[in-house]
Amino acid sequence: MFFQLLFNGIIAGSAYALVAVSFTVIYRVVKFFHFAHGIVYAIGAYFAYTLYAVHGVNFIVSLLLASMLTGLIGITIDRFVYSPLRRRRSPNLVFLLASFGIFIFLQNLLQLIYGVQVLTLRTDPVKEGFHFLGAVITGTQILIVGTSVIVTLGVWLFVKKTKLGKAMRAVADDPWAASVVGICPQRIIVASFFIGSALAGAAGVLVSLETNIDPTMVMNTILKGIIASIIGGIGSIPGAMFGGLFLGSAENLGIWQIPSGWKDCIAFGILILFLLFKPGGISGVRAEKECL
Amino acid sequence: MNVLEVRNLFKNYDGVKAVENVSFGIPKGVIAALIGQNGAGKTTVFNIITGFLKPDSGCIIFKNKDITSMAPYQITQRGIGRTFQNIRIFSQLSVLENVMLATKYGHSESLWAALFRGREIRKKDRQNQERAESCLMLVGMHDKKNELAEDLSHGQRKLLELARIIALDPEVFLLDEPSAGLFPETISKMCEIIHQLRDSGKTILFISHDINVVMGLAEKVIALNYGIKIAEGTPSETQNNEAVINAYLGRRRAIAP
Amino acid sequence: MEYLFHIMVITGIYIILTQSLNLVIGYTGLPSLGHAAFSCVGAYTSALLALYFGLSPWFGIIIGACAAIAIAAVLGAASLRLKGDYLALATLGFGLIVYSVAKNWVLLTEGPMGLPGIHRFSILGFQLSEAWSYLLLVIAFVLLTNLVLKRIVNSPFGRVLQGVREDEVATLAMGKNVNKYKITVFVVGAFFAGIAGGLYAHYITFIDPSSFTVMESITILLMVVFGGMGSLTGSIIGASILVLLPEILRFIGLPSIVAAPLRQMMYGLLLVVLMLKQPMGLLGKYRFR
Repeated sequence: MFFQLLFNGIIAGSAYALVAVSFTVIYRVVKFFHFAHGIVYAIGAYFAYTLYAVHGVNFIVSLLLASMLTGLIGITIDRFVYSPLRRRRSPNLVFLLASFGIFIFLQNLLQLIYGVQVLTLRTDPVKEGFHFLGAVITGTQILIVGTSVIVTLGVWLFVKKTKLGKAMRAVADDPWAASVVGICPQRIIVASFFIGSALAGAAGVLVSLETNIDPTMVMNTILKGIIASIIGGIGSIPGAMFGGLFLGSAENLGIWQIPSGWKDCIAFGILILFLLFKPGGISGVRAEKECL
Repeated sequence: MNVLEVRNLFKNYDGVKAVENVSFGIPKGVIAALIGQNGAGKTTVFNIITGFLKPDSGCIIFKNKDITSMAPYQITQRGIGRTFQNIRIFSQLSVLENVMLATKYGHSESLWAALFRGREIRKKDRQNQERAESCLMLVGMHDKKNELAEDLSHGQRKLLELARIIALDPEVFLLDEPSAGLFPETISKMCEIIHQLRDSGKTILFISHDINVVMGLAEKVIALNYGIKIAEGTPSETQNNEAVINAYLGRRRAIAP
Repeated sequence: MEYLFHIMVITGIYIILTQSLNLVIGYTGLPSLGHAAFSCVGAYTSALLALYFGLSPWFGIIIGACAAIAIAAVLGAASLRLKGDYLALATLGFGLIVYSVAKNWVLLTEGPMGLPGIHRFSILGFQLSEAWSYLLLVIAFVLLTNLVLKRIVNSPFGRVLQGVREDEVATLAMGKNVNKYKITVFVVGAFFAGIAGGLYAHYITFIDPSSFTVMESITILLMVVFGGMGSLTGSIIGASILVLLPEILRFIGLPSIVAAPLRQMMYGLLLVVLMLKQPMGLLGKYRFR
């Protein structure tokens, strides 16, 4: 029983990790909680569904096209909403509210187009899973876990080693200084939105192979992605992965003796605890101090 | 008798010794200046005195009471007021409202009073407004009383901060760079006001980079360099102090023993 | 006609919610994104007291509001060391915890099934079952709320709140105990939200967790922003317009399956447009860029 719950935790955690890592890529350069990120996650899944399940397009192609679309949507959101607000140097609350507005708009648009039907990309019959340590884990679930590890590693290496990645780190650290050395912060932000949103879209597609995605629960998903990022230290990519796994495990192990509906409560309880006592997360990232 | 005493203050920031064993005393009714290069630790000392920062060790004695562990609002209520280096005003409030916030209302500012003591707070507000207006007149900002604080120029904001701290009527005034960015005429007006405050029994400690203001206004000077106190005395003593000259002009390098 | 009264009752309830949130976020600058949680507590407390003990709603909603105060005090105290984004996130999380409890503590709240059969207000034995009579009751509460909140914001207490919003550090330097003000304001906001929740419960006679979601909190926030941060009158107008306007959708005969998401889309779009073009809303006095 324990191992089944642990595996469930790791699987759910991997999904959270994917959301968290893609969210972090964007957060690092814009420094506010881009809630609308959650909806591109759902858009990816729905678009892939339309291509793959409805029109029979090859799965990999659907996945790639969905990611492209969500990447472009991310860029569009920045171009038309966040960029003008940045120019005006709006306080973070304005960004947050605008982000909510976008989220609500797109979420309900999805609901209009697709109805309230819950969709799943699972077109094959549910396969028998592998037995391991007294628990069952399916191929799809292994795929999700594996993907999240690869994506996290990939993004981390990308940010650490590539030129664009280093530019992203520079802008994350100090946009003004970055521009002084010839990096255009706006371009880097656009690139970050594309990469982050595309990854989120792909994550949505993958996870919808395993669970049902519906627009009404996507708010929860992005929140958990944010919680995972905070647990691991906001802005840290390996931290986002760790935070995701931690959260998934805590949720699933936490409901050992209590009904599973309490998962959300556990997650938000963890959020409050971390915000109050360890806002820098496990890695202790320091929040900016106020100058007097 | 020293109304304010700083004893053996130490403050570390991630390995940077912001303040290292700083001690000094300010007698009552004296105008004192705290000088030093940027980063010497002057504002840090102010922050520690006013409770916005807790020192690693050392203490602050105000009127013979240890106030080191008190909250900033408590320290203000006890009688130490301060201004800020990067001016802190209430931007979306009018100039008058800014000054009206600087009073010791006590109970009248509570929710209970707001709900049930209408007449009392109306009376208090009338008195407060008169007082605020007279403080504004003192600094020459009375004609701007209904303007939004955000719309003020830098110099006017500094005067507003001054009016505000005068309205607060503390025993000790801690002024952080009161003359920074002001026109000469405004500076002399400000010095005049500070003299008036001293004459009415107040104690003033100010931070300044302006050597003219320091020499002209201060009766006592405390000099800091890299967090360490290097001089304490009258302005002329400080001016001729070897360590101070080295710190500011760097002409003669002190040879470490 | 019944329908019009119904809409006005709902508007009245939202006015109370909007004004109380405006006190917290518009006047004091505390980003509270979980306001619906307080009305949730107020509604459920009053409903349960009515269902299990037959308690009159007059007492029920007061006790409900007090229950809301209790949790607001906890939230307020916890929030003291959080700023900006983190405070917003914490209040959001808090709202979700309350929603989650309402949904999962089935023993107490019947979970998603909700609590039906809540009885209505009665004055001197005369039950207020007609919409118009309930409207009068709601109007009375709206006037009371408006009166109290107006007194608060125009008092020295209210001035300190604005100081907290503008510059917390400077307010501390003026000798004000900012923490005390923050908790007090959360509590007052929660009190009225709790009242609104109770009014709602005893009107619809059925409550379930779905009336108290994050979307609800954001909708109330939209009403605050639209009407104008820091303007109680603006809140009245903002709430009224945002309740009435989507009803027009109903009139042009759209099926509910289309009207409901369309209404939300309007809200979402309005929020974005407001942030881009007019963050101050209609009557906002606080230049919230």
